[in-house]
Amino acid sequence: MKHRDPLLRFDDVALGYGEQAVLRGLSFHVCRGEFLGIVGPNGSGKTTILRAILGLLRPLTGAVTWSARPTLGYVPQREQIDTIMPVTAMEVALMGRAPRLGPLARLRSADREIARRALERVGVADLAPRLFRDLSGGQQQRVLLARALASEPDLLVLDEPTNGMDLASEHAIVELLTALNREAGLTIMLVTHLLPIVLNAASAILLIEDGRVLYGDADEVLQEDKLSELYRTPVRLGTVAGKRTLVVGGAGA
Amino acid sequence: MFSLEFMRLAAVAGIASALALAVLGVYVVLKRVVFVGLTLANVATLGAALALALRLPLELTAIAASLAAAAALAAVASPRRVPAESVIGWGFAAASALTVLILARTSADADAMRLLFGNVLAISPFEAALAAGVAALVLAVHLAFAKRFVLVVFDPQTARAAGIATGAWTVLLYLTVGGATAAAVHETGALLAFALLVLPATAALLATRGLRAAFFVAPAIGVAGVLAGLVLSFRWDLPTGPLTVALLAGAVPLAALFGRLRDRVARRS
Repeated sequence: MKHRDPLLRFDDVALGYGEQAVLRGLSFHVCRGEFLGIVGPNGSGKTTILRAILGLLRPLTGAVTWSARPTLGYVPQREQIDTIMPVTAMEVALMGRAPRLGPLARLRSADREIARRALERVGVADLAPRLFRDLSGGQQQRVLLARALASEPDLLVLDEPTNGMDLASEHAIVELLTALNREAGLTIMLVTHLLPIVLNAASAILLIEDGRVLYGDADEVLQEDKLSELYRTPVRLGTVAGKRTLVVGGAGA
Repeated sequence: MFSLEFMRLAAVAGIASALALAVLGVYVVLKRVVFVGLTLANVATLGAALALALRLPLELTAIAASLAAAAALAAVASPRRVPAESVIGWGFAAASALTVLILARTSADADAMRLLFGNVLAISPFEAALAAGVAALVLAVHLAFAKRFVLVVFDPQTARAAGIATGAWTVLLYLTVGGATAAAVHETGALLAFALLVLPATAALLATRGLRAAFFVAPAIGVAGVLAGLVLSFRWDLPTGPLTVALLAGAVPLAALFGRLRDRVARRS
């Protein structure tokens, strides 16, 4: 693992609810400019890690430390949001400015411009006056991403951003995140239950399976023997059109 | 008819309650906790009954009881093992039963019963001023902190992740609902207070396309309902509270129809 400027460190952390630990011995770090994919099936504890990163859950043991408290841009699971509220895409993007402004401050034209640019960056500027609830799942996800970008984050944290999307929308979101990471240098943590989502985007990967954890640079983690051992099934990696592909099951499987 | 003092006082108290409760109602409806209003109204009545029994200041005790219940409901807004509605239902049932039990042991005359259950046509200048003061305070809080309340109601987890104390803001939201409801119950009765909280907001959300518009239209519907209720009940010699509630209830399907027609026209153009 290359050791640059860690923004966030987990050192031998146990996480859980009450006295019950969901994950133990968790150690990893996130460096500035990195794209960390946290991958695991539902119920594996990846949302628990996310809650600890967001400061919503204290570790049972071990330490979660920040080098400097960054501005977090959080993109929740779309399903978590109750779309009954009749707010426009622009109003949702502007919510990203609210934590920066303080409770009594008014939105200024500069805030509106930042929100407009965030919508533009994720390709939905034309949807600004539309109601959030009237948008498709993919469009809503982009608007939530724009809200996170409008907070001008140091670290973007996304929870299952491609859930329920068709292949094209999923690809578009991953491409957008890859561009934000590689071109704009934004540090990204993405939680997903699908390894292919981060296969070509992440620079570091944390895999969780049955309480076991595999963590390292993407090139270190994405090895057939390591993945086969973790998933207890043959995993083969290949390259198509310059991109990593993954096949589960060996020749005889 | 507004040359009569009791009608002027009724108009002041009714308009003040309508303005505050209709704005709060938009949050209450969108948070899917409309029965919070009914429970707080009943807790305010329980507070008034307690005040009668213990010879305490009636208005202050009713408001204090409602504020305490509002803070308690906000603190258990997301229970893990049962839905929030069951906690709200528990509060409603307990407050209703206790009120009746306390009144059974209290010698309450007709004037005391008015104080308990409210009658908009029989309020004093002090009570009208109290209603106006509470409404002004509630509206000032919501005008100042509208962005925070909207953010916390729309997506509390993201707000928490951004470092916003969502628990404290939810308590403040419920406290304003509790204060406004308690004041309105005392002046207008529990039924009208609950109706002013829920019906104008529901009608506004059905008739309009955006949150900002709903926040303006809901109080307008509430005020129109209160004034129409006062005028028509005076003309037709009907009870003011139930007639106002009936008018506000009638506004809801009309607003739904208007909303559908507007959407159809928008789709065609």
